[in-house]
Amino acid sequence: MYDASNQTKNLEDIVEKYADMVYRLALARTNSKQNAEDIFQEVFLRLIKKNPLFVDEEHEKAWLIRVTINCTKSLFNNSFVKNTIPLDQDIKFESQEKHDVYYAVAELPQKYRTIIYLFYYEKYKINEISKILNINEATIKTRLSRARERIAKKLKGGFEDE
Amino acid sequence: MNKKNYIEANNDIKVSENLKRKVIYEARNMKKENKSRNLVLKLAGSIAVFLFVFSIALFNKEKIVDVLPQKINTKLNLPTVDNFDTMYDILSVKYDNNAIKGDVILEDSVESSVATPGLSLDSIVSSGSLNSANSSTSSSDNRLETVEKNSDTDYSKTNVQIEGVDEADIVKTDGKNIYYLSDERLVIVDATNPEKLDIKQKITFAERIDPLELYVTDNKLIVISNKTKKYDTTLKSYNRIFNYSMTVATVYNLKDNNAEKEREVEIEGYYNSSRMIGDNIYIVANDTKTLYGVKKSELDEDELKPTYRDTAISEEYKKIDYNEIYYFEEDTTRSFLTIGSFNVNEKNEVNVETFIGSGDTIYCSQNNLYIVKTEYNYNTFSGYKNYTQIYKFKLNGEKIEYVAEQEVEGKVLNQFSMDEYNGYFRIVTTEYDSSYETSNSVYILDDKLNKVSKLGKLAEEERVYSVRFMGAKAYVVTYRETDPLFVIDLSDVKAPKVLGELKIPGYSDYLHPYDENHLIGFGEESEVVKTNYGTTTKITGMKMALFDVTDPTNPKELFNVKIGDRGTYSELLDNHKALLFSKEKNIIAFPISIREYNSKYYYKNTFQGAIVYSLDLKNGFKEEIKISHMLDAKDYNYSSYRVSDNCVERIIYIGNTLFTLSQDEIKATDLTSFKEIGSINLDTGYEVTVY
Repeated sequence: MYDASNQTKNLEDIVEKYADMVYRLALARTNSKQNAEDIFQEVFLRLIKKNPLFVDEEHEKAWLIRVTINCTKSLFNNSFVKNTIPLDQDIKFESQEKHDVYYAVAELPQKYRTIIYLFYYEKYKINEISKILNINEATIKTRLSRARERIAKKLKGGFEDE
Repeated sequence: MNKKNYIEANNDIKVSENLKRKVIYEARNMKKENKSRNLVLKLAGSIAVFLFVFSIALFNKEKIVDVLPQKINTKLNLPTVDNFDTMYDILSVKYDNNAIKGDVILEDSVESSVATPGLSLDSIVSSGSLNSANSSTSSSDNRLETVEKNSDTDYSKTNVQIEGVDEADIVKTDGKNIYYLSDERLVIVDATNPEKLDIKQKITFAERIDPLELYVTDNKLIVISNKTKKYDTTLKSYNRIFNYSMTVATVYNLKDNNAEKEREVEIEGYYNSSRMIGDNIYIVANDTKTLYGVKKSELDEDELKPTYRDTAISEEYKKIDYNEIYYFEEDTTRSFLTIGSFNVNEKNEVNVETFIGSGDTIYCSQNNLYIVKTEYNYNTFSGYKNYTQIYKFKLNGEKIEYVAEQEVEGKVLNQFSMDEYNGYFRIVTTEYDSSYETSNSVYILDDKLNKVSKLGKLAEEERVYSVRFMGAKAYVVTYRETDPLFVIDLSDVKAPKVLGELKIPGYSDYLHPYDENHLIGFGEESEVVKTNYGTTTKITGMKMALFDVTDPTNPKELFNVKIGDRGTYSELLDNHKALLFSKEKNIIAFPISIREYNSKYYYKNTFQGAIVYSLDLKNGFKEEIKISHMLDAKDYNYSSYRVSDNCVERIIYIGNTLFTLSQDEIKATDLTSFKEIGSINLDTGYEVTVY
């Protein structure tokens, strides 16, 4: 049980625990380090402000994901911009393969990027993603398969043949 | 494989510690104020803020201009901030603009609120400083190599862009000693006898100091560090103004065979970059001072003043007055740009100039310092645009003078994208538009930064990978599927033109002049792969090539060497300072991690260390030797690049001895026989023995 009264005491822990997740998701959605950093701050400030009572850890995590997504939504009202801002090619990865796959995903439209991130990285199931994003399962499935198709066009092998 | 790589790639993406800390501090302060309020108030507040934010988003620029007084300070010919009220307004405008004034925005109102995609100051500072400190390449009029001849001995110097303008690095030598900053400590190794290397001195730093780069002159050693600031608990706003870092230049006297600390100069902000000309050092730092929910009444009048310290004058921190803080009228960024300059051999107080603005990349000629910053702009009509703001300062001994500012379209790659020649400033940029179509341009500006000419639409749909200016010519590498090397004639400043181009596979990340008519390109080899869905390119290894530009209309690739397979990496591709080049000694050396594929899918890291080539114009490149600091071939597989203690980081030479440096060890190799003649373990001070 998450106790709201000891939130301050746990503040560092929460930031430490979810910082990278919030940042990765924000980066995946905005394709901009600067915007991702702004969103990162806003998400945690909102956590403190709202001081929500979480049922369990899973709830806590899902809440942060949801808020991160809400924050990114307000950034771009124009879907054209949302899907076409390129991610600067300056993120350094340890290998070319990682670089290629990360940027291949980054080139997808935002709605696909989000689902790819939640499904492959955060390992959420389709029905869970459906709840978090408040989009019905069939749509998630379609988007996931379209995202895979697009990745297969860019990368040898795609995401599924292993 | 892709799935796994995607997960690992995401693992590589981490948020900076500073940002985490910042959010913790902010959240704490917010919590103090976060007494529960009644809903009506909250709603009213949120509507008010929504309107306010909206109006700022709409009238952003006008608002700022309104706020600023039009007083011109004659010293730098720029308007100054002048007083506390203005400073507060400036900092809080930035703050509201970002729409993170938490108190009153309700969770639910967010979806509809208009937040301008503001630039985070921190991100500019943190990402910008890293990039610009590392990146670069470019030209000098006649200086084609990095060697300095000395009557007693010759030794290598850092591979810099402009002759006579030194750049800081992690290692320097004065021909006798090697000064090596690694693993947060400075080691001074006596290299007079390479067979018996000796640690003369080890300097460690205080916990809050993070040493970054150093300079060495005849009698002085200067270490540049970032220092995390301690909060001043006596301030009213204690814990609420967020500026964490000071940039520190520590000067050591090298008298009597011993480095002794004699002076510390601190200026406000994160270290961005620096240059040293003669005895004068110029340091550029970026800083953000953000007010999160701090009311004007909660601040003392001079709390927003940036501070500095020079122990040559006093141990105390001094404050910079508001009427000495300048701003650029065009600039809407709310961060501080601080330039500190001083003469290391004199006791005059450091000259600190503070501006409201920021910089990513700096270029410095012998006479002028240019600070540029790329900004993004979104406009409903023209879409997403980037542009680069250029500030020019004249260097006048240890003082600097502001000259002019200008704005050009597009984004600069690194310091080598800029050059000054015969008083004209040339800059190469890449423009991205909304649909990610790119095109590249060369701008020529005069000494007051007025635009003289522009050569646009260069290599559309490609972006710049490297640039090198050599006198009146510019060599530009762009890339999409093949690497066009453009030769551009800039001798007629009013009408620059493309003379020739060469298309070859792959691209160069760094171009180094070999002589007047030849350039060496360091980059990556690529091949076009046909898939069922069209063509794409695939990097297949590192590549080094010699270009012949004797006939500028018909550049040729004379030789090339491919090193390793996909995944092979050298720091040189990102940082020109990793290259050791001497035409006279006929050495081209750089650190490298080589990866090779045994079959289509299985690869092995087969080498990490220094690779040394020689080059002659008849026979091309020849690999002379590979020097590794790893004892066991198995180590290669664990050396996930750059992280291992025995990864070679730099190569230097003194006389006829080549030194390879890694965190744990320095090895000496004879340049004639290429035999190892000495080594030293930097931890224990003992010679390294191989069992």
